[in-house]
Amino acid sequence: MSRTPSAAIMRGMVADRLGELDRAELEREVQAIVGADGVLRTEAERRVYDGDAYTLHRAQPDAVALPRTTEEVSAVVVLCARRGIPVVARGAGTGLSGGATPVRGGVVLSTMRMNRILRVDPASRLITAQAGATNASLTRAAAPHGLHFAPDPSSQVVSTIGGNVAENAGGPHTLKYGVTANHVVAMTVVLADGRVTRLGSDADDAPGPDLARLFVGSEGTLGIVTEVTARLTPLPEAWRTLLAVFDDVEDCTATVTAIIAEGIVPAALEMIDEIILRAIERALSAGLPEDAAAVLVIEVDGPDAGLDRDADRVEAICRAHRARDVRRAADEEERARLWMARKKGVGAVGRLAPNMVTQDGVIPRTRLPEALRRIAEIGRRRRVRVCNVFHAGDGNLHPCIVYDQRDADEVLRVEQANREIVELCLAMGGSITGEHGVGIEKLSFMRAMFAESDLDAMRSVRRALDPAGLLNPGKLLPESPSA
Amino acid sequence: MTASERPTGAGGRFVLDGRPADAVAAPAESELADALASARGACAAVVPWGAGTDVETGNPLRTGIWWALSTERMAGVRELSPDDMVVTAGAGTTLGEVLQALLPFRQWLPIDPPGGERATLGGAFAAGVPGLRRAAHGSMADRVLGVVAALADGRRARSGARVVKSVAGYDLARLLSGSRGGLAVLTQITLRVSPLPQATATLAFAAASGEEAALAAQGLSMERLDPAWAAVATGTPAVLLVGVEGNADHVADRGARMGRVLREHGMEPVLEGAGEPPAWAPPADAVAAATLGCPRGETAAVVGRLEREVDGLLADPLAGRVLAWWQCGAQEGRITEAVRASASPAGHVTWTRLPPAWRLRIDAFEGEVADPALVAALKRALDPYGLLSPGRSIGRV
Repeated sequence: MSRTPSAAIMRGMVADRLGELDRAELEREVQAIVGADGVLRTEAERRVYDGDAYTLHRAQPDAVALPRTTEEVSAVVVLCARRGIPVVARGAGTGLSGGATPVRGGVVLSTMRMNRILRVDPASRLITAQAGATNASLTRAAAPHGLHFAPDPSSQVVSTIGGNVAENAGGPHTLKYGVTANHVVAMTVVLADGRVTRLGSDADDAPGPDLARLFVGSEGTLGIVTEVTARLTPLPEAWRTLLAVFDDVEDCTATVTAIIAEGIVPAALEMIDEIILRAIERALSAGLPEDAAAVLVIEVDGPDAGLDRDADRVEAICRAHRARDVRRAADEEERARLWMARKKGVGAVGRLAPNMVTQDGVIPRTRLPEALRRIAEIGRRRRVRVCNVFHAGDGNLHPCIVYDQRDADEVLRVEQANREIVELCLAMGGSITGEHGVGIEKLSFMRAMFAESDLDAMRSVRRALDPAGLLNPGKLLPESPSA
Repeated sequence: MTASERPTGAGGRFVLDGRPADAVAAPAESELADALASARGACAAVVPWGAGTDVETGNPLRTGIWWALSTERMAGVRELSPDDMVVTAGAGTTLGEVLQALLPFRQWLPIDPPGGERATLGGAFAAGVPGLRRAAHGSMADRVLGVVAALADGRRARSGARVVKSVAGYDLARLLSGSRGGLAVLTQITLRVSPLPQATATLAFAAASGEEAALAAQGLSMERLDPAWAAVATGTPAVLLVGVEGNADHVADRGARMGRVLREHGMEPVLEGAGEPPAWAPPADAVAAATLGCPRGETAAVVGRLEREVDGLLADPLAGRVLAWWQCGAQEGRITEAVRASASPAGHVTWTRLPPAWRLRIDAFEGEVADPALVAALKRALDPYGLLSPGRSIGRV
C-alpha cells in the first residue's frame, strides 16, 4: 500500500550518495563497531530500510546498522560525524510521515536488537526499556503489577518506544491519559557528537528546561534515543465501553462535542464512519452495524463506584442526539473485540482500493460537524473516496482517501484533496499533525502553520544540538530561505 | 529608557539577591522587542518577572546592572473556548483571573503553584514547580498546548497550537518550562483546562511520624486507591492529608476504602470534610528551604532521613517530593549536609530559599538536573548575548 504524493516535498533532498568504494569502506567500519551480524550486506536487505509506512518516497541508505547497546550507537554516530554522513534512527518503521526515510542516504540505525526491558519499578511506577522495545511489551512487563504504559497507538504491537518518543505517538486513550510526552520522564540519548547523556530524571520535575520532553517528537533530529524511562499508569479498576450507533454523521459529531461540554472526559471517544464500518465487517466480522452512518466507541474508566453514573450520562447524551442504539460491552471479551475493530479500522480500509493515504490534521473538536461536512465536500469536488476513523474526542482527524496509484489523474486529485484537508485544519485554527509527525510528508505545510521567525527559533535549537545537521536531515523543519 | 520603563529604588517589589532592580520595564507585547533592545543597549541583564511569587529560587544573577521585565501588561484571558476546554492568556495573567473566567463554565485550571492564585501563568510555567494537585492533574507542562515567546533579540517564536494535540515542529514550550526566564520571555500560553469535579472530600489521618504517613500513602497507591492529592506534614503528630475528587458515588466509595486502608496502617482519622491542598511553599519566616525530588517509591525513606533534621517538612508522596525548611538559627553546614545525606541518588535538590551569602557557595540546583552542557548550548543559541537572567539557571548558566 502506498501513500499519496506530496508535491515538491523532495525538492532539495536529492541524496548525496556515496560511491560504491566509499560505501563498502563505511560498511566495514560500521561492522567493526556492531559486529558482522549487525550490518545488512545485500541491497535487497537494505531496501527494507528505504522508508517507513509513508511509502510514496523511498531512499536507499548507504548502510544499515543494528546495534545492541548505547555504546555501539555512540560509536556509529562518532564515525558518521567524522565522515560527515547522515544518521537516521529507525524503530519498527511504522511511522506514517516518512520520519525514518533516509532522504540523504547515510547510515540507518535500526533499534530492532535493542529491545530489552531493563527495569520495572512498581513502587515508583517507572519502567526503563531500550529504544527498540515495543510499546506493547512495556505494558506486558507492567501488567503483573496492575500498571500499564498508557499511550496506545494502533501500531502498538510492533511500534517501538523509541519510535513513539521520536513521533510523540498518541492513540485512542490519549484523550484522558495524554500522549507519549506526558509519560516519558527520562531518556538516554546519543548526541550528534557521540556523547551519551541522560535527560530528565526518575524524580519528576527535575530543575531546568525539560530537555527530555523537548526530544519527544523531535523525530531523531536532536539526538538518538537509546533508552527510555516512562511513567506507568495504574490499570483502571473498571471500564464501561459503549458503542453508539447513528444514522446521521452530524448527530454523531455533535454528540462528541456535547459529551465533552457536559464535563465528562472519557478515556476514549472514537468515531468510525460507514465506509470503514463496512470494511471492518468484511475483514473482521466484529459485529458492527454495517448500515449505520457512523458509530462512536466511547470508554469511561476509573473506580467501579460511580462509573455507571458516568456511563448513564454518556448514554443519555447519545440518545438525546438521536443515536438509534447504544450498546455496552458486556464483558472484557466484547470490549477487546470493539477495540480490535477500531484499531484495525485503517488496515481494513486497505481492502477497498490498492492505495490509501491517511491524514492527521487536528481541529478544535467543537468544529467537528463542520469539518466532516467540508471534508466530504472536498471528496465530492475532487471525486475521491474519503472515509473517516479517528480520535473524535481530541479533534484529531484521520481522513483516509483510497485510490489506485496506476490512475495518474486520480493520484493528482487525491493530492489536491489531501492538501485541501490540511489547509482546512489550519483555517479552523488547528494543526497539520496530531500524532504522526511532520517527517517529509508535512514538511511543505510547516510554513503554512508557522511564521519564519518561529521556524528560525526551532532551527536555532537544532543547530545548538546538531551543528552539522547530520541527524535525520531533511525532516521536520523546512530549510531556511537564506540557506 | 522608554516610557514604559521606570526606575524602582530600594524597597521596591522587584528585588533579587537583596538587590533592587536598576529599572523596571513593563512593556506590552508590541513593545517587548524595544524593551529588550534598550536593556541590551544599557548593558543590563533582564529578569522576566510575573508576580514574583517564586522568583527567589535560582543562582545569583551574574551581572552588574539588572532590569526587571514585568509581564503585567501582557495580561488577560485572550481566548476561552469552554466546549473545547482550552484557554489562551497573556503570560502576565494570574491564575486567579483564569480561574474566575472559567468558573461560570464549571471548569478550572487544576494547578496550584507555590504562589497560589497570585502567581502568573508565565511565572508558574517558567518556574516549573507544581503544587500538590500534580498527582491527579499533571504539571503545568502537561497541560500546555502552545506558547508564544520573545527571544532575547526580540524575535517572536511560537510553538504548539490551540488544539489539544499537535506534534508539528519542536515543542519549544518544553524548553521554557523550568527555564526560569533564562532562554526567552514567555508572552502567551495556551492550556488545556478541565471540568470541575462534581464532588470532593479531604481526609486527615494522624501518624507517629512523617515516614509512617508517607508509607501509608504508598500503601494507598499499591492498593490502586490513588487520591487526587496527598500531603504529609511533620509535627506532633505527623499528618497525612488526602483529597478525593470525582462524582459523588466515587468520592463516597473511595473515601471509605481509603479510610479502611489507612486504619490498617495504624493511622487515626482526625478530620473529614472539604479542604484545599496545602500550598507547596515554605512559611514566610523560613530562612532556608529545599525541595528534594525523588522517585515516588523513595519518598518515605527521604522523609524518614530528613524529618529529624528540619524545622518543618511537607511531602508529596504521590509525586516523590519533599519540601523541607529551617527557621532562624539554621546553620549552613548542618543543613546542606542533612539535605545531601537525605537526597535520593536518583533525585534532585532545589534550594528554594537561602540567605544571600549562602547562595554564593551553594548551587541552587543539585543532583539529576538538566544536562548543564546542553542548557549552556541552548542558552548560547537562543540568547547569545546572555541577556536573560544570566547565571541563575542550571550550572549557573
